[in-house]
Amino acid sequence: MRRDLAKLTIAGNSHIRSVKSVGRDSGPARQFLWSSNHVIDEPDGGKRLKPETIAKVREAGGPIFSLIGGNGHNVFGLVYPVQPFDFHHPDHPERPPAAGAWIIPYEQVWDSVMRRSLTRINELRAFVAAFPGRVIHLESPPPIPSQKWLTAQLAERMASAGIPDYEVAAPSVRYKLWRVNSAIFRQECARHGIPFIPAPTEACDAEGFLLRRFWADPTHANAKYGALLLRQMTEHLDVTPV
Amino acid sequence: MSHPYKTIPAYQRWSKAVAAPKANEVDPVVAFPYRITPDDRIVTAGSCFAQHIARYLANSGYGYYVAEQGHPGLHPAIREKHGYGLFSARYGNIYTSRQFRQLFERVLGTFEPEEDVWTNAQGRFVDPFRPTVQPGGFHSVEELRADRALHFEALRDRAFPKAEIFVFTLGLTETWVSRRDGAAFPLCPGVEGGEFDPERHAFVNLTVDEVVADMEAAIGYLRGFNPRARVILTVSPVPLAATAVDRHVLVSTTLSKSVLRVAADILSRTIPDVAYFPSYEIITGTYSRGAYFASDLRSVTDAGVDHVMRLFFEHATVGRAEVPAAAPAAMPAAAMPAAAPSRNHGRAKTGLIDKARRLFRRAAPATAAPAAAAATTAAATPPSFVDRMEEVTEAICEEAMLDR
Repeated sequence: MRRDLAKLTIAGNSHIRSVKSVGRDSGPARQFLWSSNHVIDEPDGGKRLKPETIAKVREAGGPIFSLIGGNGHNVFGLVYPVQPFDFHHPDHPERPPAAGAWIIPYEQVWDSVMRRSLTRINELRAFVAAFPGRVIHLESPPPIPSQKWLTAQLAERMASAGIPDYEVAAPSVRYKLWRVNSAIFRQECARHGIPFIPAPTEACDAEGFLLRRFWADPTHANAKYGALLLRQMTEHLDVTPV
Repeated sequence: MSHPYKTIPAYQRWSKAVAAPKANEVDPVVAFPYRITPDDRIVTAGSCFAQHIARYLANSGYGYYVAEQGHPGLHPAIREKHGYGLFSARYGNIYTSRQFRQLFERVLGTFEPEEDVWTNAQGRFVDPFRPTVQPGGFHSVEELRADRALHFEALRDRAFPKAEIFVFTLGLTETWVSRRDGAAFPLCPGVEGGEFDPERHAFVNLTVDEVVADMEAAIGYLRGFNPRARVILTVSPVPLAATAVDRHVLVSTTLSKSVLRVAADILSRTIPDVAYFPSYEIITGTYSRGAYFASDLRSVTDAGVDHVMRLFFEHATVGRAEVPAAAPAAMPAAAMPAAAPSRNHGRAKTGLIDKARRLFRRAAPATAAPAAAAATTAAATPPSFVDRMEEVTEAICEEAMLDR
């Protein structure tokens, strides 16, 4: 596909905001689809794209970059659910559980994050089913390392949710949960043979966390990060035309 | 002419007690030595048939005690999938008296089996003493040991000392042990993990004396934790899936169940506050003409479990003569004893748990502690902490998309 002839479709949920906030004159032409508004529930629990969405994507002509999902790990573990925990991540032995922590087996962590991601996975599947070979998924942004900042950011929201006493999970726990979430989406991509583009390395510190200048809110990155994503999209098309 | 049979009650006469009544009215319990109250904390363990008892108790309003529920942040469906609540702790099926006795010894630290980690076909790690509790296995030995430590803590600090009624179902006599230290495995090495090695593993078919000795020791250990614990023994009616002895599996089944039934009788007659409940007879009695077994002739049908539990509630409990509604489904034989796998839950410092519970109660007065997973229906489950975090996260996401 030649970028000057077609429009990118960027489908996703809240993470598309970072890209949407990038100036319109920057990068290729694009349309944004809030994925949950474009699917129909199937009786078996799955989802399919609405006919009008299919028409819209066809009309755009270009590839579909997915920023679908990417917060299942935050739902489960941005804040410790009731009680602190930690876990062994098989791919991150350099981040062992904290001494004395309640260890949740990895499979239970996986299932917990998966449970909170399944709706989004089904949205991704709906796009893949309607447009085989045209979907490219981008990893969600890495976690923010600062517990202090997150605690302050969450205070009002947690109070209004009736959770006045809470503890933001340790950075290492949140990092590993993010890796679980990414592995779930990476596995899904592999299952459908679609590319999975990792988070841009220039947005990450040496420990893999999101650098300060890219923070937007406790679970999202900002427009500067969105610009990096947009660059990843165009670079991907240069190397791998869809 | 007078003789002792002239004056026996009807329940002692086959024609009146077994042949004459409708099948679902046969009641071999007659009398039970004590009554469970709703305040009694009931702990269950044993072979798979004990799962039925656990499920009914969980639905009954009686105090089915789940001492190991997994992390409170786990969703009930995930707890259920990972075997929490199936029994009072995440020990999986305890098929033999030897396994039960060694469980206490392992918890007390007086026995540390040499062969304590297996690997499975996927290269993951399996606890040889509860090989099916973690679907797919553990991802590291450290993870396995950490989970086992939580399991032992749940048993040592909660299940054993707090059990007021301990229901144990004797399942099998055939077992495989380590030749080195006698550690008894619930499944033959190689079935769900590990490698069978005739140099290291030996087959044992427990005798009546061995079962009695094991159970005497186990009940002694239990009463070391709680001297007032009362015990209910049952014998699993589920036939062996396979026998390791070179003879017909039906013959092995009959021997195995007979040994267990005799042992249960000896134990209930010789140890105070140990009672036998005849679920075995209710299911296998000829009066039902095999109707309480499913087409595989191993799985117990809903009707059979209903019959058992109706009599259990009628004779062994106070204030309830009806089987609880929403009876659970019959368990497929594939999830049952012998060489077949089962399914089957972690906790940390008691102080931390109490703190967490207080915190959780403050945060969600209507939610309270997580219910026994197996008994909980989604519709009845109030929003969990994680559910409410989902709302918080969604709110953040919505704010992020205000300009959409």
